Amino acid sequence: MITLYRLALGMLPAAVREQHGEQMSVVFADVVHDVRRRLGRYAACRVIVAELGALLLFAWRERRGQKPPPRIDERYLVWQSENEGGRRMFGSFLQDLRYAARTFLRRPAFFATVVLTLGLGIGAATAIASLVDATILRPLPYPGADRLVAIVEDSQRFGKAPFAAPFLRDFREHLTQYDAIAAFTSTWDVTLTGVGEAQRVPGAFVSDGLLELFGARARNGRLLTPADEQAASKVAVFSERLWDRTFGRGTPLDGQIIRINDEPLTVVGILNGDLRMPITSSILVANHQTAELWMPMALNPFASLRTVPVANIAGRLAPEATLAHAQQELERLPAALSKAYREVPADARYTAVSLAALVSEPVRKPLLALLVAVLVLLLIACANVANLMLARSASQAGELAVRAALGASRGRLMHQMMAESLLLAGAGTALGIFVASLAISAVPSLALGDLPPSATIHMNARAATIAGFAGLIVAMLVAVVTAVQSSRTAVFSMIRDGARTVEGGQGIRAALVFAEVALALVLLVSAGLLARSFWSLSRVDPGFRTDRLLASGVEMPGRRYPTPESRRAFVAQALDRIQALPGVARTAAVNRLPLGGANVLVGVEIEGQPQPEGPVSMDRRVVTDTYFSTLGIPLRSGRAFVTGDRADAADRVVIVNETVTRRFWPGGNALDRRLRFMLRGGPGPWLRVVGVVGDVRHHGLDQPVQPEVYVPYAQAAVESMVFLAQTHGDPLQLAEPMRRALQGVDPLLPVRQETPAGLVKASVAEPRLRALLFNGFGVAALLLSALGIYGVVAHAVERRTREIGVRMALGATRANILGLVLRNGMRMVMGGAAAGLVAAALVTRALRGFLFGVPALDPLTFAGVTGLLLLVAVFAILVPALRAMRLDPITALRID
Amino acid sequence: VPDYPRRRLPQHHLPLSVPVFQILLSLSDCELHGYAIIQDIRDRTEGEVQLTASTLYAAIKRLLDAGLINELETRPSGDEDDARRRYYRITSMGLDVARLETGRLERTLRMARDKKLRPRKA
Repeated sequence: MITLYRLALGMLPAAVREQHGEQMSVVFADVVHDVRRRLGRYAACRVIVAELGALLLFAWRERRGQKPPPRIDERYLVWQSENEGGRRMFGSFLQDLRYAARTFLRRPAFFATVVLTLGLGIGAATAIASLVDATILRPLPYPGADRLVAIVEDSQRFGKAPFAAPFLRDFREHLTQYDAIAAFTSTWDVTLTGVGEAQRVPGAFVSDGLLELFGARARNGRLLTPADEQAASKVAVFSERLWDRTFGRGTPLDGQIIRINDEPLTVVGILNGDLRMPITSSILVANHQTAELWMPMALNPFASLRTVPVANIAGRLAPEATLAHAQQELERLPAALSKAYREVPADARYTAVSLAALVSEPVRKPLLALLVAVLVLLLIACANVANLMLARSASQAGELAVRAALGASRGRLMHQMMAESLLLAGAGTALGIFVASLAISAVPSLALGDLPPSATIHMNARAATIAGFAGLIVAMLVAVVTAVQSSRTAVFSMIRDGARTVEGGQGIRAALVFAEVALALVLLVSAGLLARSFWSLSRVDPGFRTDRLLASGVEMPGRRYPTPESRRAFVAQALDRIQALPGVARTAAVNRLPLGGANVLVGVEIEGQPQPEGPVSMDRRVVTDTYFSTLGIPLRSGRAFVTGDRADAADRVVIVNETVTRRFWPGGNALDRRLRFMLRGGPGPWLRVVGVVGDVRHHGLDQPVQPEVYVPYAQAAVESMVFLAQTHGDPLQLAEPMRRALQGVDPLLPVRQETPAGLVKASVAEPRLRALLFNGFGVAALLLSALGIYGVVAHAVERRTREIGVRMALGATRANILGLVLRNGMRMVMGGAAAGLVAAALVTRALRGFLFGVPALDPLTFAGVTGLLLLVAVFAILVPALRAMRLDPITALRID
Repeated sequence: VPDYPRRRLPQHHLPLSVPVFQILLSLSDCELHGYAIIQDIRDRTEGEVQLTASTLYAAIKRLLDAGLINELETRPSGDEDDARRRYYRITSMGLDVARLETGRLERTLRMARDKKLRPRKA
């Protein structure tokens, strides 16, 4: 902020800056610091804005005051009245503004075009910049966030991975660079019963000290302690919101006992407010909610296992420690740990990364791409506004010349133009802030995926400041371009020649259009590629039917359903009840829905194919007999599961997908081959393949199909199941009956419902949004450049009216004239398009990561988009060209 | 067009703007540095007048140019004194101007009272 202020001090005249600049920045720092400490960030932002405004005024007065006394004749200008002393300077500025406003009111179309262009450009830029600011630049909302680091394992298979829970103890023991180290799991949905209606609540297991690390404090009761961890105490801490929702606001904390997954836990504390966890989802569980309930890590079923990575490790660096030192220390750790535990390979790589960087990593690239796109759009908008202003100043030249002749100094006229730019930019910024606030309020519904916890985005002082700066920069750019241009005007020669417009400026304006076309083409090509990519993504066959399906998931807690028999009984009963509902055609159940984000890979050994590098990973799904027919997954060979595949059957069976056949038994028959799961305790029993089904894109439409093994529910009664109903009509009509049917079997189980069609839609939401935004920018860019082209060509035609008249008088046909104008216009456009194509070819490489099924240099997109741009350009040129064609030579010759 | 003389009589400075008068008030009985002036004004006016760095120095520059205040060459002693800070002292001319302004305000106030104008109770 100080640097910014120092930069802004550059507005002051050098003498004043030398005398006071240093003191001003010292005092500025004091003021901002003090206001921020007393009144918070928002007030500090307001002070900064006020500071910059005051500084602008100061600089304006100083610079005006430095000028030699005005020439007497200036006072005779009609728009200038005399003022006393110092007020005169500011008064004339106000007058300039007022005069500018009056001019604009006389030409509302011009004014509206400019303000709209600026407003949309600034608004879009502000919205995206606020998003980037909130997600990437703003520190995490934790105390000392800049010293928070995450310790991750750099594994080749998973990228940055968490640790098994017992590692926390080793880290605390061996690492010296930290004030505190703590661990937390991703957020899981747990079933909360024992008070009111059963509900699914996002919860997390956390070690002692974790809540404190993220700055949480207890409103009532206490947080989790080392003793809780050691004794694996059955306790829980509630968020304020969860407490108010469950027990009612104001209910005192009094050792209430609740049941989590049917396990009794005592509520020992309520947080003061809520806490947004930095990481909510893991590789296994996609969950974008943040936890509302915290339990000791020791209660996690995997807490004692060294092989299951469930714990995200975070720590706060000690005051004197650096990330580099922490990293060095970590690099020595695996060697030491591998001696103690055989599960730790000596060549493991542990890394300390700043928590903020880790959290914003997944969204950084898409957001930066958006930011660049929107800045390009803003540039186009600026070029356009400069273009319009130039056109205007050219047609105004006569008026300016008259004023100059009456004695207005060049500086005086410059000030006038500055005032105009400022007024336009001000109005544009106001509109921009409005547009941005609309756009920002739409952000939460955009489903941008895993945004970091700092990303509570709303229209605030920061966003408004960003808009203000964007507006200021635009005003300066425009003013400089216009001023440079009009200062070249030789006013006196103009008056002498009796011309009312100027010749110059075509060069700059053509250059602006050239740049606009080039930039627009880059945006359009990117937009086209993303649209094509989205299109090919949405044409991917997910491998299962999605229409007229409703899914309802339940979790059978181990304490209520301790045996496979009890779970099987529940599932059978539930299926019967759902099947009996009117409007239900078929039912089935599966443990994890396709595209539901949750997948479990298990190691598999294939009989007769020993794997020297360890077992191959396959996706394992537990399904009931009717699953394949209900979801319309085609049976390629063999049979589906039948009621004969029972738990007590000696013959354990599985069904595999085509990818398994292709990969492991190429050309051969998969039926009656055998495989077995490599479980923690060793290999399981051999399982016989009885059928092969079509591939399903479980991991996402843009992800390759994994080898997949289906197991009959009868032989693997897992605790979490999703019931599917194929309906005759609208599936949502059935949501309530289906929920009641399930709760009729067990009223204590909360039900979570979704439609597979919705899952498919959600899985492409992000590419869809990206394509939509880029295409919005692209269309805006296209329209703006069309406007720019039109403006330049129309002006050129106006300027050459007499020439055209002469040509016509000398025998040029109307077709000749049309061709002349078109040729001249297109020359400018073609140049820009060529440059744009080259630039786009370079830029789209950066988009490669976002593209699916379309190469970054897709010739079809490049050609199509260029064609579209040229077509629009031709139309933009045709309008003035037709006007030129229809000119009456006699009238044309009389002009001027 | 009258050419304004550089040196003016105290009464030529009247009326004073709010920041200028407040700065003169702050400096009337002690020497202060820039930020201390802002704080003093804020405290005295109970937050009614809050100067920014730029308004402060715009006013200070005018006061210096008009000879109503001086910049101190030697710094007043004090532990918390920061070498970066510059201190300002009111000149006798500045005091005269402040007194004149006070008189003007008093007269204005009296006129308002005579007209039975009372501030509304907050």
